[in-house]
Amino acid sequence: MKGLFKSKPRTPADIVRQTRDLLVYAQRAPDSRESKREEKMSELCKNIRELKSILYGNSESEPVSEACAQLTQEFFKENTLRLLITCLPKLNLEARKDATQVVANLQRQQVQSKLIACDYLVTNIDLMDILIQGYGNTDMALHYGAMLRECIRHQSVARYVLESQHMKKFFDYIQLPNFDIAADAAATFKELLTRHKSTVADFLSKNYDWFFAEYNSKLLESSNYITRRQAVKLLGDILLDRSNSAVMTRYVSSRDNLRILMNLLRESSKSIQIEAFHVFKLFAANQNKPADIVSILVANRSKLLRLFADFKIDKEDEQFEADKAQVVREIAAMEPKDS
Amino acid sequence: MATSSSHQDNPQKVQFPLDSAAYKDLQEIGSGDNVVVYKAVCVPMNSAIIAIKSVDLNQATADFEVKLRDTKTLSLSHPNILSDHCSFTTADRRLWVVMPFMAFGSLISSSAFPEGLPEPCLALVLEETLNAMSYLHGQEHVHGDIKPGNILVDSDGSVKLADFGVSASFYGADHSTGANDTSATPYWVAPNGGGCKADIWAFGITALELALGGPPVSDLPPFLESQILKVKNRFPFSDYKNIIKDFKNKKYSADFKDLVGSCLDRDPEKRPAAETLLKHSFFHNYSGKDFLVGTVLPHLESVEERFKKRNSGLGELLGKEKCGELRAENMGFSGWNFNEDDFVFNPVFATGGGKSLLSMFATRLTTQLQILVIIIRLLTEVVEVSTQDQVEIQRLKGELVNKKEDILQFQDNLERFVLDLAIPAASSSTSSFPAESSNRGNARLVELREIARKLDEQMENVKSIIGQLGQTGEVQILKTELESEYDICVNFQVELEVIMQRLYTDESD
Repeated sequence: MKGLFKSKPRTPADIVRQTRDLLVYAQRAPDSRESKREEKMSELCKNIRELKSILYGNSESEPVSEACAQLTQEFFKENTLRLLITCLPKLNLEARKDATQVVANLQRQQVQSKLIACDYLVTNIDLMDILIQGYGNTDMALHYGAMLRECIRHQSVARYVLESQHMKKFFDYIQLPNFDIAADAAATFKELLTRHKSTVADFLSKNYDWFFAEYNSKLLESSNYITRRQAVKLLGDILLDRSNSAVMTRYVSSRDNLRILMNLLRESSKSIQIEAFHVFKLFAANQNKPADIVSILVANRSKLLRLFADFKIDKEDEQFEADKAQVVREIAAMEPKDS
Repeated sequence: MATSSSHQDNPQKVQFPLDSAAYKDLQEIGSGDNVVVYKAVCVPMNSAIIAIKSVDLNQATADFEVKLRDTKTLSLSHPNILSDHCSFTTADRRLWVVMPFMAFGSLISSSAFPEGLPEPCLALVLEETLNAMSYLHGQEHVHGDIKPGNILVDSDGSVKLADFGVSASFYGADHSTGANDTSATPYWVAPNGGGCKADIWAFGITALELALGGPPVSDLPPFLESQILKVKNRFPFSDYKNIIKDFKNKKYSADFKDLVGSCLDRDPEKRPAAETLLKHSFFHNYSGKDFLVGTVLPHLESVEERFKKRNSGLGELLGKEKCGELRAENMGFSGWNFNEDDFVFNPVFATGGGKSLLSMFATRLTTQLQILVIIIRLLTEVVEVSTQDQVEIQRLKGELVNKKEDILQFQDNLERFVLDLAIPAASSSTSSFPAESSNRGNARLVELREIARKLDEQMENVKSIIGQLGQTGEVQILKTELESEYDICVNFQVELEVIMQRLYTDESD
């Protein structure tokens, strides 16, 4: 049979359709006829690889935009993405990697200058639930994690994830004992909280209370060094972003927050100290310091000044020195406020 | 090993425990900046022997985690690629990366073969490396650091390519001296851009290095190699170490030369892909694994032995970083032309930019002086253990102090010399030496030569003092160090001679 059609090469859309059929097959319970199943699975893997080479090109040729568009269109016409995501655990490692790359690439493919992947995800937003829960599965975490990070490039998808119940789980995922998975979750967490400025600002102001309560207790005060270091760095990135200025003002008016940051300033790790300084300076620079913040700073004035006197970073950094000088001035000039 | 993650039909990776308590009998087998490598057993895994790379996170940059994650996402798996079993952070702020133990470590400076690996063995090692590269390139992934130090060999002759980005310097091999650090060996850096073709270039260099038994040049600045080769017969330096190999040596097959030559084409487009190289005729006639296991491995030292040996020396006494820093050198050239027939590199110098040759030499000399001062300081410290005789101690100390002052005087001279150089002379960069204009340059060279000669005299003197210090371990270490510095100094003088020779020849043209 095959021979009859050999002369006609398969179009990208053909490959997508065939992949889809094979995925439907793979999704069903294991067939009794093992050999046939094996054959089909290997065909499936081959197809996924072909999709990948159409999208990324290979050593002989660059990707062709027309072929990519055809592929993308066919891919999202039906439920291929859902099938691929749910069947991923059934594939072998190489095919999982190929599939991950395919899914990642498709998020950026435009068809008639539209990101149709985004439209698909919005109507199939529950797929995000599968991807996020992947962090709980050692074998799937890195694949699903990589797909997830590409999907949240779409603002509407990121908003869904931010506002979902999953957001709370990230505080645990980024402290998983498996370093690779923890680091992957941390990267996704960071992406969620920094990529889409307006969405992030909106999320943070609506969810301020629980979010920073968790952030402080689970991350900044974590017993895991890496967690603390990453968290204080990310906190600085968030608060120093102009779009988050309202959140920042609120954050630096809290005495509890100040206490935590001052503890981080005292850490033995230089990099934590420096990142903590970038947050601490916001407390000091705040021109409307609440009385309790002032009194803490005044009470610790000499200790802080002594700390900053010896506070150096390895590289020369004018901005850092200028910030430090300003913080020192602020603190030195501070008078106790009558409350 | 039962835990190979490369088996395609078994996506369920064997899970190694994510708890440092599960690993026992840690034995240090390597170290580098912020990294210690151990051999250990994993108790819950039937006491399997594994290697642990322990990274000090306090020292690691924030960038580090990003790089590491990028690498991980790829979850590369191939029989010729070293992949992690697992990784986790420990309570003492270290990242533990658990990986297969490769009994013979990396192929860097396999001292058992100062003349290089025999061809059948080269063929095996290079073919396995190419397998890994071909897989990586197929995944659109550039390795970025192909070198002997990243090619690991196990006792069964299996070969794995290690280290992507961060994992750099895994089996840490010889990083303590900095001598083999990539920063000091710029011939790794491919001319004309990166990408897969830069890996091919690095592969070519690696092939060359393995064949020669060392980098194309070891202690010498690489750009002088070809010149030295041309004049070496005129220099009957009796104790001149056999660093300079005869690249025209007929022992290399035409196939091998062709393989290396094609990788070292300055035009990246002309370098073949890894996949193509695998079909090269050089690989056709060898089935090298037996040869490797039977003939070569018995001569190699295990990683543990190597580590013990390496773990003494100036680096140990000074702290590794400091020493590496001292020895790293700046090179002022832009790349290489590989001459396949002669089997040599011909340097291509940067026009403009780059440091002038003379100031580079002056810098190297300064470095040597610094090392010498350190050696003298360390010697002063060990004088007291060498003898009970207080008078003798005072006398030796006095002598050392004198020597030190002499050397500091040199340093002053040299500094002035360097300052002079900083005032730009009217120079043209058309000749292959981006050198100072000849007359002035010659006078400077004579001066430099004089300094170098005196330095070598001073070293002789210090050596004779060492002779009076007895035989304690530390003294022996310092003595070895001094001897190697002495060799470097002698080589250095040879180079200067070569330059002068060259300059005179140019003038007579």
